[in-house]
Amino acid sequence: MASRTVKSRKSRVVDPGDHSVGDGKLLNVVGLTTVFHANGRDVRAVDSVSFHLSPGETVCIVGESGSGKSVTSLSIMKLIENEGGRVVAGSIWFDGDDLLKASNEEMRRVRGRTVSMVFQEPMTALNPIFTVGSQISEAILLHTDESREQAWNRTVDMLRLVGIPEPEIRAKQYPHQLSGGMRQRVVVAMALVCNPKLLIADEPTTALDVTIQAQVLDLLRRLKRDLKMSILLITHDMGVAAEMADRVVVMYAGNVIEEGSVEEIFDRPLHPYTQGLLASIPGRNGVRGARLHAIAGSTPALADMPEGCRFNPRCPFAVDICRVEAPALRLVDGHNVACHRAQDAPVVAARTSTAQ
Amino acid sequence: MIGYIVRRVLAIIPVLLVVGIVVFMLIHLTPGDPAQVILGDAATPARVKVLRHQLGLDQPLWKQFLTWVEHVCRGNLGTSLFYQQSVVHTVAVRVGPTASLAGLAFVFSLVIAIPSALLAVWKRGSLLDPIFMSGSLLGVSMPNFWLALMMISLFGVKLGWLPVSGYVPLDQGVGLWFSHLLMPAFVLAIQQAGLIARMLRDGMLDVLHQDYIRTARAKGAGERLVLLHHAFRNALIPTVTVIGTSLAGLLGGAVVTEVVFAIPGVGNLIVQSIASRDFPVLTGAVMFVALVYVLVNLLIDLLYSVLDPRVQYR
Repeated sequence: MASRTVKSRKSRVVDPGDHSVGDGKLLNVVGLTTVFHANGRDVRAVDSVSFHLSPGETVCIVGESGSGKSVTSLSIMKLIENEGGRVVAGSIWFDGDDLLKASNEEMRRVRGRTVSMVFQEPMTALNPIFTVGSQISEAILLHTDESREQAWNRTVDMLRLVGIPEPEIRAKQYPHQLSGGMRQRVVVAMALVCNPKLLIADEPTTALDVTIQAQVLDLLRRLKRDLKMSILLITHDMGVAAEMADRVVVMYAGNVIEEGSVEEIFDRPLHPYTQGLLASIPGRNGVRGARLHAIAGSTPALADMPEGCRFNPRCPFAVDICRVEAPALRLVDGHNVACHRAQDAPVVAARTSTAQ
Repeated sequence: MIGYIVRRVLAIIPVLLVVGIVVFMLIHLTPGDPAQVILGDAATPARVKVLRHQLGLDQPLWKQFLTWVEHVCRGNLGTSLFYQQSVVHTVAVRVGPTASLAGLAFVFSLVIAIPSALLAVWKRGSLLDPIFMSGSLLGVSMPNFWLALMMISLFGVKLGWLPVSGYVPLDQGVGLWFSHLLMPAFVLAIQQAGLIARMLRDGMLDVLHQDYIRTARAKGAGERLVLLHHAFRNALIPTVTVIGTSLAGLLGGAVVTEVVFAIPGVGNLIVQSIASRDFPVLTGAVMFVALVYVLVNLLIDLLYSVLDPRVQYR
């Protein structure tokens, strides 16, 4: 990071082919493009998305609904086909292998063992007709040679680890007998029981109330440290990102528009969209009773993407080039941003007003 | 749970009473005098009058009904006007053939429905799915009697592989029993299978969109495990309702099929007793059917609590 800050004012286009096996990255997503077929044509939900994640790192993907962040996570797991999507370009390097080239059977062995996933909705993420213990054991039995009894003991241990009281009793209960927070702990236990290298958490706290949210985030932080894993956290909540992330990837309309360390993003947001997101957090250097900031307009529909920069219709700083040419991700001031005007005076000035 | 079962069993009584009233009224309000039917067209009015008196048919309707209820409460459903046997006995001897036919048809329908639904779901999106859909539609909408007659003329008459009609009790040989029931059971099963398979397929496709299926896949469950374990068990819950009504319908007597194949079952008995104005037997048979429906429904409701832990009876 330090060396990058030195070349601050210089900018360079990030080479999308910038990946080599064994470069110390656990996950390297390069040029990922995922399409959905709708009304007779393919629409790109995720378009040439690249980012990476190092071992032990927590990376947050932030963006509004429809920005493509969940599609990105499901594409990494290769579960997107079950949702009707299709990856048409790019590669997903995980631990030296391109997951997009893996067979279904190879992928099945990756899921739940080396890459796990926690979903948004704890109320519906568990099968209602099986006990929570049997659902966790299933993950163990799928990936190891352990006996049912060993798997059950490990299940109970895991439930204890995620902070569920009386795990022996809880393991024999059904999802409907547990509260939302408990269920999310069960989902986390299920995801982590095989000790994965990477946990993808897709809005893990969105459906929970605030106190439970904090507990689950604490839990994820603690488990990340104890189990030495990396976390890819998908969220729309800048507060969660600030609390959890080492690095932040901001997505808008299927593109990565800004990427950098959590300090960079929060202290010096370069993209007008990121600036807008930060400005719209209630209570941030705001006066009580002041009007909340909102980004004008709404996310464009997938089938109806604007020319040039996808943010240009909503951008207060848009100029002619923004309406014709899509900006590439480039290094500016120590982190990557996709904005033609990132170094121009009005955008730079906006940084200071939105940053902390 | 025990309390629930007791209450459900007690609730059968008013149901049967209502069924009894409706059937009793229906019979007595339709034209046709049993005494006249029994004695035939040549009978003199005087003889008919005597018989009417003997049968109690000259009493006012409400009195006849009260007498009937009183007898029913003592377990006496009356005597057949035709067979000179008690109604209970007349119906009871018909239960064997009907139960055999229903049981076999039920097994056939599940054996056809479940694998074909699983196959259709497994190969969803392929050409197999529309084939399955038209197949199940064909099964549901094909008239029973038509399929029965076609099968009789092919396997019974032309090829001579199977007996054309009739029924042989189980104790006279499993082979004979089975060969006589094969065609009628198949005819009944095709219709039920179409319904059950369609329900199961739709249920499974519905379940496959649920979040917990995605969770199962995310933890590394393969397609087979997802379908057979996670999706099937969940889709079974709505399907059991259809399976239950199907079983109740079969046990209640498959009227057309029993008549076409000359199987001496409850369905056949109902048709005969209507034709011969044998009111006590008709009432008894219909009440038997009602009892079967109520009991099977109770069974299905209890099955829900086994299949779905969220369902609990107190």
